[in-house]
Amino acid sequence: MREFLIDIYYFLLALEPRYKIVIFLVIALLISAAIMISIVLRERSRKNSIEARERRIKRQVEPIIQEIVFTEQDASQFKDAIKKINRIVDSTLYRRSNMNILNELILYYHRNLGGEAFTRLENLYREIGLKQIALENLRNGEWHVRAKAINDLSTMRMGETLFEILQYTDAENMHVRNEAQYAAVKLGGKKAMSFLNDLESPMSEWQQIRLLDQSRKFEYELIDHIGPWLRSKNDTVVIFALILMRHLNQYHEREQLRKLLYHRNEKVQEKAIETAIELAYSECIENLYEVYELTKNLRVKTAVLKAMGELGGSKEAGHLREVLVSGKEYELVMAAAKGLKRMGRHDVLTGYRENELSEKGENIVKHVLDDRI
Amino acid sequence: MIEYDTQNSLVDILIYIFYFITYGYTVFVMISYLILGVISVVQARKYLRRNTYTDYLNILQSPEAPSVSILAPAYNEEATIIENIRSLLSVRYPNYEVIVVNDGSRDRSLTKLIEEYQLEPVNFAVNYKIETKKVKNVYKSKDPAYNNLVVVDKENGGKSDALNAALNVSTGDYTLNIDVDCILEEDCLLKLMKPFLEETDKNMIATGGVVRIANNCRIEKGRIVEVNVPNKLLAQFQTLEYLRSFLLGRVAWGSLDGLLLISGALGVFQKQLVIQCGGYDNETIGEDMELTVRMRRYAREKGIDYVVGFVPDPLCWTEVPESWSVLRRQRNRWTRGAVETLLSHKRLFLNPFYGKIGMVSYPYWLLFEWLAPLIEAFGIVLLVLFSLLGVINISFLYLFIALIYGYTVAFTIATLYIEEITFFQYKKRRQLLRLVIAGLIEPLMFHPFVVYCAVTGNWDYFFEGKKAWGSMKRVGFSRPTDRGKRITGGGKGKKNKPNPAAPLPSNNVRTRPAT
Amino acid sequence: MSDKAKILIVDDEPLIRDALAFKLTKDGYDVDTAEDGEKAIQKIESEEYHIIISDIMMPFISGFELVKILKERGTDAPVLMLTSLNSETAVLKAFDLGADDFMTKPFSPNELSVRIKKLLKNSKK
Repeated sequence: MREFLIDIYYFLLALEPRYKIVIFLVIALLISAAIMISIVLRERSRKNSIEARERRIKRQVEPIIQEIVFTEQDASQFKDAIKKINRIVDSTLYRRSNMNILNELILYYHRNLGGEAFTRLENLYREIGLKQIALENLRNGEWHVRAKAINDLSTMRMGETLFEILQYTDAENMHVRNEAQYAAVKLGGKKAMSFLNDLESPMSEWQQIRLLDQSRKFEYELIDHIGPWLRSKNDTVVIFALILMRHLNQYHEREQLRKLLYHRNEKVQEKAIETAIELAYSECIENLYEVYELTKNLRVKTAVLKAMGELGGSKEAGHLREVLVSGKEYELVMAAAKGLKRMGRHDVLTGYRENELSEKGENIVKHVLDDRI
Repeated sequence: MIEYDTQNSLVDILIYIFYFITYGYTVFVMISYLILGVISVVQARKYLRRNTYTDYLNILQSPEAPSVSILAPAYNEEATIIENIRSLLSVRYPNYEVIVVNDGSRDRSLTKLIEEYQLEPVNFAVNYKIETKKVKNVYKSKDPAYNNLVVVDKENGGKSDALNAALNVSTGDYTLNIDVDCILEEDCLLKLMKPFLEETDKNMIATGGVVRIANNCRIEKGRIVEVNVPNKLLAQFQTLEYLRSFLLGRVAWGSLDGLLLISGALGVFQKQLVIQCGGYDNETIGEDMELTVRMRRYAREKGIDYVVGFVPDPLCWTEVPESWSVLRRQRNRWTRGAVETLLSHKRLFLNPFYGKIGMVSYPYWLLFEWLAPLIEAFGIVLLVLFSLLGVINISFLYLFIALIYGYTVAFTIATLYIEEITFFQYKKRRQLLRLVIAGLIEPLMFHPFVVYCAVTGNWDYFFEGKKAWGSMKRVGFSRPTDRGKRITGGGKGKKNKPNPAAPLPSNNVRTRPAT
Repeated sequence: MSDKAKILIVDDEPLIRDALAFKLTKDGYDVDTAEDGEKAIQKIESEEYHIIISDIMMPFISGFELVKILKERGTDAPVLMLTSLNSETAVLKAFDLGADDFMTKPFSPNELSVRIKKLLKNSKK
């Protein structure tokens, strides 16, 4: 055997360099493939053992949490429960991972339960040390660890961490920033939204949707800052302010809409018109004529026609009729017809002389009058 | 060290070319795949980390969610259409409509739809922004529970025409284009819309998603309930191929914003832009790739600062052919489609005006997707020739082929490893080992076959004139599995891996694949 | 006749199912669970429940479809929708399809108890 290996060794040694390189590479590849397979298989058993551990912890902790959440407990019982949980998750090797499992479990309950159960879960979260872990992650973690920590803290309503979280609302990393903004609204309500006053980074639509969803929980309150936000240099803040106005019925800054109808950003224009409709701001109707003439953007034009249908009177009906008869673009004719229908002006929609309407116009009128669509 | 006879200058030149192909080109290909692989891993991890705390509920109940139209063209799908539409109607998204286009089916597709969903014709004013075959009727349901369903009955015009008709009827700001027979994950629309909503700097024009293989998976009521590795070896090969291509290739290209193809099986598009650039091309068999390329071109030429996104989650499941002959036809078509698109947009080639697309993506496609199989086939022919003539150093060559084989296998296993640490779909140990075995056989069996298909595809395209749908054959698109979802991108390191890239369906093949 | 009211909980999340079962058993009800709409229908066919608590977003048969099917079949038991969807459209749709009550997650377990009591009282009349 030994001689054989020596033979091979000398054989290889005698080869040209390029042979050596290729043979070396082939062997290296095969070895690395074998290593990867073994890693995959090891990974599998690791995953299995984690899952088993997770199941065990859940099985043991669940009844304790249920007991805490659903029954009246005095302080000593609560302490006992915490001790029990601590004993379950305690482990030299797996403590971190166990705490993660516990964290997800409590978060899960918290997302689904409210009322008194809510408060008890929050206490548990603090007492068991999960809040401390989240705070450490927030201070020292990588971006995704930070973002997750902020998300956890806000889900668990750890109000006392608000000030620390507020520091991150204009953070450089988009994900950290987004989570911090979301947490601010969740924990601090409309007051904490003042971070929008001088926000420089753009807010994505996704973020706006999330913040809106959170803001809707303080419905029908007055948000004083909307004024400055509408004047912000950051267009995404303006758009978000408009969305808030529209969905939270913020009538007090309606006057500002008039100016925004002429905004250089067409998305802002469109949103401003939509908001004007929602807030029944019919005072701006004269401006809408101007906007209609000034803009080339079909979406803005369509929105104007819609607004006329929603807010206008007989004068606007005349304008819509005009568009219906002579409009070229399908979208505009359609919007005009819909506007007329919305006004209840079926008389206008059907009262045409022969050949006054193009075939397209007629089809669109039929379409609009068909309530099944 | 030269071991051949130098008298013959032709053989001389051939040998030079041969050496260049085998050594230079192969090493180049290997390195490219390695780079793509590394980028993909980084990106997939980043994506997964972000998703540990993403909550889709906010958007699911938002009044501000942008409107989406799901476009589902159907031709002779009576067997499955009801089930498929049902699963489309249960997609999770707050603001969407489903537009089913019956492209002149000759079976009872329409009747079945009318009965099941209590449809009645309405006075729909179709906006023919894109010219299509005549729309006969537009139907809506009498049942308010289905008020987001629109069924369009039109004269037969092929898949592109059907998609264009759907575009004309749609009201959404975005369109989700799918193959009706695919099985979608419930939250696929939420996940595909997220990149659009998250983008703040650029104009996102389209987003593609990952297509996975459904053969042998347990499916209940239009939903995947258990993921399995296919039983048939041929489908296992394709599983590996799809994994490499979607998990490695496309994720990397997506992050580099270099995707040239959004599969017709799953993609979200900004509708306005699709219409502005003229909708789907009727004359090509690779309409999905053609559209992606044309949209990018259009956006660039109009000075729009755009981006194309990609979502690495498994979102869509499809059956792949389990018979060699169906697969051959599919790959043949894919090849023709890719060639056609590449030729009709040859302006892009190394044109700095188009940025990365012109300088990187297009040349990559040209070199790796189109020419690779040809070069490889050429190389093999030369190899056989030279061995017969005995003019080259065969022993080193065999060693080199062993290297290529080793690289291919290692790359495949690396893919399985990445799948394991990211999306982890194949949970059974035995099935994983079956994939490893398939990976060992694949370079010897599947790969040469794919090369052969690509070569014949080129032959058919250039010499048989099978360019487009062909007017006589234009009757619709074939059955699902036959269509195949395109894939491309990363691949193995065989000297030139023809990553099957190519267009969907064609009309000419109407065979039902064995499923 | 047993005076314990029977409640069926339909939710695809095991944790919620368990938690609810724990709470309602404690409140003195006879509790049964199902993990999706289809299983719920099977159970309802073989047994009579006094009240059904259902999630909306579930695989196969959603809560909406479940209510629709139950009401079409003329099941007497009131249905309470318990869901994380809190959009207006979801509420409207639920009541439109025949749901008797609607609660959103996160929900207060105590509030749920009260609502169940109320629903039971009304349905006995």
